[in-house]
Amino acid sequence: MAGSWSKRLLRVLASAPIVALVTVIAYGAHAKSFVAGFIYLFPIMLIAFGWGFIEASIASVLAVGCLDYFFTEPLFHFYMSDPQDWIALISFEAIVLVVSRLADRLKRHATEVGKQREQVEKLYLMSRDILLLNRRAAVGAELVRRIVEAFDLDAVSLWDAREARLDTAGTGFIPEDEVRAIYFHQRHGDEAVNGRFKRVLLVGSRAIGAIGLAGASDRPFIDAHTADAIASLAALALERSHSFKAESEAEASRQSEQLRSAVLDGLAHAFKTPLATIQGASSGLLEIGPLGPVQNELVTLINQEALRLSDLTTQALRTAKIDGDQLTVNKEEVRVQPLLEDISEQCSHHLSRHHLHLRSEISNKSIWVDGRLLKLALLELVDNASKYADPQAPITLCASLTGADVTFSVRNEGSYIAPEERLRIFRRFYRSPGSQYRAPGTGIGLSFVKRFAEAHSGNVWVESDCESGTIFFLTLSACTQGDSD
Amino acid sequence: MNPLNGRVLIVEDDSALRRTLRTTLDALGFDIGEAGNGEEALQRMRMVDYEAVLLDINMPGIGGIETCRRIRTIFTRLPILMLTVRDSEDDKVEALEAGADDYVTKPFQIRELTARMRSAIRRFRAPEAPSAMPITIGEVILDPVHRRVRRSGIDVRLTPREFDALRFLMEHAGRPVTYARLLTALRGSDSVGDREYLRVLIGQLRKKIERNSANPEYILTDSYIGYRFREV
Repeated sequence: MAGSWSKRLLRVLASAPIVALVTVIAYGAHAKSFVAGFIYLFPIMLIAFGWGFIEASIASVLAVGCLDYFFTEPLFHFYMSDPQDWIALISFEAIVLVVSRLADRLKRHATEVGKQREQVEKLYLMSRDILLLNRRAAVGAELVRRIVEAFDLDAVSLWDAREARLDTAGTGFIPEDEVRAIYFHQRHGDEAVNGRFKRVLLVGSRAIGAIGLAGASDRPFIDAHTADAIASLAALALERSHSFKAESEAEASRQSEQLRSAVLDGLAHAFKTPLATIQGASSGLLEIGPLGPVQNELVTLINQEALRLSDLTTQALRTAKIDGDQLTVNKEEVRVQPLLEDISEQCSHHLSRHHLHLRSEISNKSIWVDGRLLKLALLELVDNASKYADPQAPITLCASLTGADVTFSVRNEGSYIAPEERLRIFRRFYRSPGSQYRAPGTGIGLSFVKRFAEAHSGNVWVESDCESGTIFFLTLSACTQGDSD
Repeated sequence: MNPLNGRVLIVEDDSALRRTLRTTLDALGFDIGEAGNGEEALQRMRMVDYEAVLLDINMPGIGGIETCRRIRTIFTRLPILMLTVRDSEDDKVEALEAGADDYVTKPFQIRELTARMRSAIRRFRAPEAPSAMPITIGEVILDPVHRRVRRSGIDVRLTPREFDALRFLMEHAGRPVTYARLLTALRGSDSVGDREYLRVLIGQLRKKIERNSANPEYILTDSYIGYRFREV
């Protein structure tokens, strides 16, 4: 700031010799006061255009002095005999001031436009850079670097809320808390005087992060509009990288899932026939008999274990199958009680750690659904419960009637699902944070249950609290017509 | 051991399973022939008179279902038991449509398999009952000539459709009857797929025939396949 004042003083001092030079030329040419006035007008206008209003007005005062002294009667006196000269001088000064003012304004406007154009160009360059950013790498660090470069800023800090990550660039420093606070309070902030801007990054009306911009004191600051534009470009870049990431992750897991299903399917089928042979042989031995007690015991063991292996194979096949492309629903009458018993029987082999309780509040009820899929869905829920329940804790499978609907519920103790997770767990491939290490799974089972419920105009949801555990509910409409009630 | 348990042809491509079945069924008194695929089976059947065929559904070559269809065109009454895997109800239905009498799901217990085979052979050996003869199963007696049904000596009033359905099921007692087959028998060949109609019809029939329609002892449901009337 001090620099600009000394510059201004220099210019004021420089205007004196200019006025003097014009005076010498005009006096040498024996110009009349009227002509001399016009000759003075030129340099003053140039000063107004080139240096500014203040310089021009000081020069104009000097010019009026010279006009008075050298060109009006009596010469070489500041005193003027003719009152018309007074009027002429005053109007000269007024005209000069007005013209200088206009010229100054014009110049400022031109500068402003130039500056704006420059910033628009920078914004354009930045948006082009953003499009070319490597979407596979973390986009934040590169983004802040480019903003600092393009706008010649002191510091830029970018808070990515989804990744909970802060990226900074530039020589200056913006405290991390400050940037995070912008996001959490969702409030913009401008300190135009020292060139600091705070912006929430919005996509539509959704906040996805925050950015802090600090201008360097020795360079011109950006304005609020530019800050807005930078913020929306940054938001766009972040959102773009997020959606790209989500997309490629989903694609990758879909592919690996397909491969897994195919391998599983092949293996399970390859296991089936040898298992049938083992079971045929062992049950055949028991049937042909008579065996000694020890032989009988051992053959029974072989038979049981072959049965268990074949159940495991069936289960593996089931997982491979439910991820098949689409659900084709073949509705039929399904009786609730036998279905529950069927499930219980099937579970008794592989739920070795947990006991499955059956509780049916309806004895003679049928539902009109795809029985095979319903069984798969309920098995999925029981399986899921067994994965997350406390070891040895019982699992309860219950069927009850609520109005015209049959509600199945599967309850287990010892697991808790946070409220924000309760919708997400039904998403395909979603695995709640930390669950990867707790239980094996693919994130397919529950999404299948949801697809099943939707295909039957039913509903599935979960209730959970730390003390009583987790309950999954599946509601389907009961048979209205039919034979069972 | 009764050596007259029956002459059975085992058609199975997996040699280990075939050997197991041959050894076990041989020890249990069946007279066993073996074939590794459908073509071989058809060849053997031209030379030996079998009383039942145990036919694997998944085989290389012409496959179990096509083999079943070809056997059925030559031997109209010969019992065919299909060996299927669990969770393949569509295959089971297709096999039954192709003329199979029954199916056994792999892996199976030998006891279940032999029980199914014995009852199939018994039916095969019994002289074909003239269709005018009353059928008696348990406490249910159906008289086709007078279109009358009695349970525990009490007349049961059935609608014509119910009577036809019951008659068809009782004539095929012990064997699964697919939805499509039952529908065709009741309404002609062009009415497949209307299971809701069958569900209601069988529901009504159960209310009249069964002691407890929620827990039927005569008309049993074969999940995803169809219905099966209890055997004698």
